[in-house]
Amino acid sequence: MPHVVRADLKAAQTALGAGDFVAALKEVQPVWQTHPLDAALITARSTLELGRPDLAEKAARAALTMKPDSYAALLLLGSALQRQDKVIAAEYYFRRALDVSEDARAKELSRNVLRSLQRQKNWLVDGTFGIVPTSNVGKVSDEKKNQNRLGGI
Amino acid sequence: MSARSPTKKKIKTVLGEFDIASQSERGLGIYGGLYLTRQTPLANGARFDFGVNFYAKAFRQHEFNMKTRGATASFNFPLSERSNASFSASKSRFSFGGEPYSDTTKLGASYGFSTAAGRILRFDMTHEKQNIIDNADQLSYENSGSVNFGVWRSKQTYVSLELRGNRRTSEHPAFDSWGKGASVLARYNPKDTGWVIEGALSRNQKNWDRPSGITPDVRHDNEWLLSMSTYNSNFSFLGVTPTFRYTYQNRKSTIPIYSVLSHDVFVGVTNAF
Repeated sequence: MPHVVRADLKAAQTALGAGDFVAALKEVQPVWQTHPLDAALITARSTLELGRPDLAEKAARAALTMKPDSYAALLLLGSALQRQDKVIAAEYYFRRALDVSEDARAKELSRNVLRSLQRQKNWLVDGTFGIVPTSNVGKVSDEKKNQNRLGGI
Repeated sequence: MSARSPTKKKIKTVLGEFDIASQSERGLGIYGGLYLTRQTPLANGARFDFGVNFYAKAFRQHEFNMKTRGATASFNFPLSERSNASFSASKSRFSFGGEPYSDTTKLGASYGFSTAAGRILRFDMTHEKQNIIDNADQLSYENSGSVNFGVWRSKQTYVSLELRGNRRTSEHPAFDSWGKGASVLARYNPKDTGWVIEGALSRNQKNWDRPSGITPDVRHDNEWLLSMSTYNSNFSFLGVTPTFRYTYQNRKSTIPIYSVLSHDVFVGVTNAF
């Protein structure tokens, strides 16, 4: 009865869209049998909104086992971890979400959550690394040596 | 890796004219920096940050290696919905060729205001004390100020202008100088491409009050600086994307050994957010 399943999924999605997360969780139960990825995502989002990030984490991880590069699953898992103050793990999944995001809106959302997370962290670690081809590696040495020698600043 | 091509410059001193060999070289080095900051949120949106930083460039010829390490504390607080202010203090040591070169202590204050259209007006003031670590232990002080204001903002473009000025005084009056500068800074993000292109064109001028005592001429420097950087935020691995930066510096000085013409390229990685 595929049309019945589609109706259940639609009902769960409608409840989620309307912000009725309890109803979404109720409607999504039969959907696990036929559309487990959608069910996991709806469960993760609903439980997150209902203040149960631990359950949201489980559901989002389940979604990720089904589709490792799911943007929605990565974002939801990052959010669930962030709500549990697991900021380093959250940052990892938000960064992966940015990697897999395809449209401009998804990218902007990923960037916003990453920037917000940076402000939330107690410790901020930043690094830079690269190569420097230059036309004049001696310029600073000349400059500094001559400043000493000639008294310029 | 480097290819040495020494050039000779003439310098007029109080004892006569001398040739001074200046090493103009092409070289390839590596650089790396690490910045660790402790962020402490305070009441009413204020924040106290304390950070330590380390930055190094290493070349095959070790005499050109440079290293900076320091610590910074800053207190940032909102004044209104669209304005904020901050005070900062920092201490850093710069080493060159494996030896300490200078110790710098800096105190700063800044004020920023964002218009409804998202253009930013920013004032910065700093007081700096620098000790050149050598036998003479030259101590100097610099007061500087700058104003930066956004002149154009659209979805893809942001352009701002900056004006700067500084006064450096020293225990030895021969080192006293005035400096001024202006910059045009721009950021361009072509629609739907993910590319971010940033550039800054600066004109700087520095005038010393009197001859140093070694050269009879008073030093005056005029400088053009152009820096450009680009990266594509649509391409990232774990939120990190390759970045490319180019810097052109052309400084003409009345004392030839201070003249510089250089091209620097930095290829590295940066956060894509």
